[in-house]
Amino acid sequence: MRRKKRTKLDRRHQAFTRFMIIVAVMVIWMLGVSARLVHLQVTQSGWLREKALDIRQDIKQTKLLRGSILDRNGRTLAMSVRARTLYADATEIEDVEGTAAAVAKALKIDVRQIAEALRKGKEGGKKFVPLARKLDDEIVTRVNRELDRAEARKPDLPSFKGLHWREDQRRSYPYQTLASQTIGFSDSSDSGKAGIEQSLDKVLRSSIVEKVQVRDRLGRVIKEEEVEKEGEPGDVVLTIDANFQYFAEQALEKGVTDSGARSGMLIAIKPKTGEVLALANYPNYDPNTVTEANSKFVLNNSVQSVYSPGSVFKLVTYASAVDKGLLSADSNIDAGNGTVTVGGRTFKDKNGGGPISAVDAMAKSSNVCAIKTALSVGKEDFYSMTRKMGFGSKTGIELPGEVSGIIRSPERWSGDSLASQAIGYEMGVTALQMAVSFATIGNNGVRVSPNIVKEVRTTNTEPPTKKARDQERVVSAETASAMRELLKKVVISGTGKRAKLDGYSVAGKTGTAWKFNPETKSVDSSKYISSFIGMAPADEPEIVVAVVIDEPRNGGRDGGQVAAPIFRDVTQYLLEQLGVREDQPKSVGSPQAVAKAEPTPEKNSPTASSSVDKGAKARKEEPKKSSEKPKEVQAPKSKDKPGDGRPRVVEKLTASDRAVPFHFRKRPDLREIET
Amino acid sequence: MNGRKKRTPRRTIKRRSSTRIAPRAVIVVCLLAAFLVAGTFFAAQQHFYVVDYGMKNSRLKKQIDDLEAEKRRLLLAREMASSPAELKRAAKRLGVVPSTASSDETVKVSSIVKEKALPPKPAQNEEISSEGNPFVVKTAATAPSGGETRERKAAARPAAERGESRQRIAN
Repeated sequence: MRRKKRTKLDRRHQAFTRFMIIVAVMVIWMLGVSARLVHLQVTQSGWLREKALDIRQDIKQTKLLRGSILDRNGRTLAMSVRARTLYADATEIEDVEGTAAAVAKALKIDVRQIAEALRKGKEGGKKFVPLARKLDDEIVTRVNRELDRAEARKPDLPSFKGLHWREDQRRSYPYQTLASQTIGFSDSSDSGKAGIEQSLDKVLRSSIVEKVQVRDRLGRVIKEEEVEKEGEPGDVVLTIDANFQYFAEQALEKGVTDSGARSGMLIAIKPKTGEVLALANYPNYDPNTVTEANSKFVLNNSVQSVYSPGSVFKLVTYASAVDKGLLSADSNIDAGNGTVTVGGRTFKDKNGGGPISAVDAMAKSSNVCAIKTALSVGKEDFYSMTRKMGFGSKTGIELPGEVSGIIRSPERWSGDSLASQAIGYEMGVTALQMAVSFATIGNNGVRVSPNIVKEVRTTNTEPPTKKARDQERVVSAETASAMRELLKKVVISGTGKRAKLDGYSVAGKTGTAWKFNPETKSVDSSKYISSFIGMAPADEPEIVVAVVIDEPRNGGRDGGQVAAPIFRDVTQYLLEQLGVREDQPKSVGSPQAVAKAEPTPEKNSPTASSSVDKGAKARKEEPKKSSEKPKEVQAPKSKDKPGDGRPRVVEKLTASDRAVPFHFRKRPDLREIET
Repeated sequence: MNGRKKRTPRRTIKRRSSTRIAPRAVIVVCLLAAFLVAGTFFAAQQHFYVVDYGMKNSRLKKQIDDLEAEKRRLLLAREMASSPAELKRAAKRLGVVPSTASSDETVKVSSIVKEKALPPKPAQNEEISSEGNPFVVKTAATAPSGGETRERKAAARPAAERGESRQRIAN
């Protein structure tokens, strides 16, 4: 019995022991697992979470498209479109030659070039080897089709091992050369490098959007979320009108080409608001192919180059005297014997001497009268007026690289500096500064800072931002009115006859200056800057147009002969397009009449007599051509092509229509049917 | 015997009690299992719906992006087509001659309005373009339809007809 009992106890004990061992093993195992779990969950949770997310999540960074630049009517001057860049992850590529051959075939480019790039990338372990940059969607589709390899098993396109697309953008300028210096351009990294593209780069710059994409095991996106957005880029609306700009550029190009000049500038500005309607420079460039452009043409000369304005600066000279009460439109100025000596230097006038009215002095551009006026004003007041008019400081226009010009303070003047400056020498001004000074007179003496950005549109919800314009009274309204009277005579009977408009009165001034030669540090009498700056209608100016031609070589070189006709064509067109009411009878001062008018060279300009003669000859020939040409064209045509016997529709155009290129005209009225 | 008799009812009681509880438990278990399975299926379905909608959503977003890109591309194409330089080229292709500011061009284009043949009167043209007249005669910017130009039409006419026309002018 005892034995039996002991055996029974042993078995129980044995079973219990076994059970306990199993329990112990289980507990240890569980503890081990728990410890590992705690370790994973607590200490390594972050790393594990990242690893898990890495497998199924993809963080994608995309650049939003760069903002657009629009003209005042909403026409797109610069915009970005989506493009893609084909790149290779060289570490994934096994067969370099095969890949290069396939890519070269799809892109129709040299295989060696691709192979070389891939080989270098593979050696360097590069994950980004660009093969073709900024391709259009159509090309992308074609390349995807041609590079489709079923065995590649890739979630993204192209289905070719090691090849991927990167989202990119391409900047386009649909109007090509139009306002190229104003708009500027951006580089391959979409960073503005010139013009508005540069000055408003912060607004236009494409922001980066970060998206989290959750993918399934096949790589398909099942969830997409934007996690970070820097703010959408804005659009910039310019004050420029594409039509006006185009017309201005065409007129300027023609003027520069006809006169054989080096370059030209044209600015059209609204005096009341300071809005720049057109800012043209010639030669220009196409920002779409900026790498091929001449770097000189990229410069916006209207704000970045200075020149001696010459007689056109007499506006400031006379304005300072009128504002000081020393001169009025009726006053006489004694020109003496037609010469004046200041600081040992003698200035001459070809007009002769004697008393001459202020109006005539301005109309004939008398140097002696201007110098005497400046002398009566005095150094300090003359300098003060020059600065108040905005010379020697930046105008504040939203364009990069604007220069302030060169205006020295009276302490640094020499004996004849006042006399020289009175007639627009010994200084450097920009074309925009000159235009603004005339706009000040046109705006009854109040200077409005010029602006080229009408508004900045950031998002649809936010209202467009407009910059407040600085206004400053420079001269009294009476002085401005008197100045306009003086300037009117310049166009009616003075040096600027060719600037007469059809139906509008004009107040303006011609300028012809010898160019400064930095090497000799003196003026070069063989090179000129010819300009005409005017406003219309003269009594209540709606527009100020400044035309500056650099080194005209053919025909007359005076501002009245070279720049005034350009002014006339552009201003006539702008006023009509703006719907400005005419203040003169339409037939008076028609371009035809002006073309037939006797030449009126700027007598006191530094132009050599020979050049005046050449100009006169050229002008004498002009009316002849214009009168003969219609006959030549018309007569043979009527003989050559009458056989169809159909009635002919002949349309009469007004003089203003004639100046407008065909594509700007309205549908022609069939006014007369010739039978 | 008694012992057996005593044992038997105990067993039946046990059996009875087990059979009495079992159906309820089974039903509950079944219900719970069904609920669990239904819940699992529902959750799975929801999950797949989410995945499906996510994919559809992603596709639609991509489509929107593509369409927006296409819109921009078309806008750019329109701007390019309406740019002055392009219009000028197009006009040249169509044979429309631009008149310039300096030249008084006088070009006539036959009207496509009237078909009736009438002899030409060049004298009237001279009158229109005379110096005293402030107006100028301008190219009518009407391109013949179907890409036909006057020159081409004239060339297409039989030589005899063309000769006849010339003779008529000489007369």
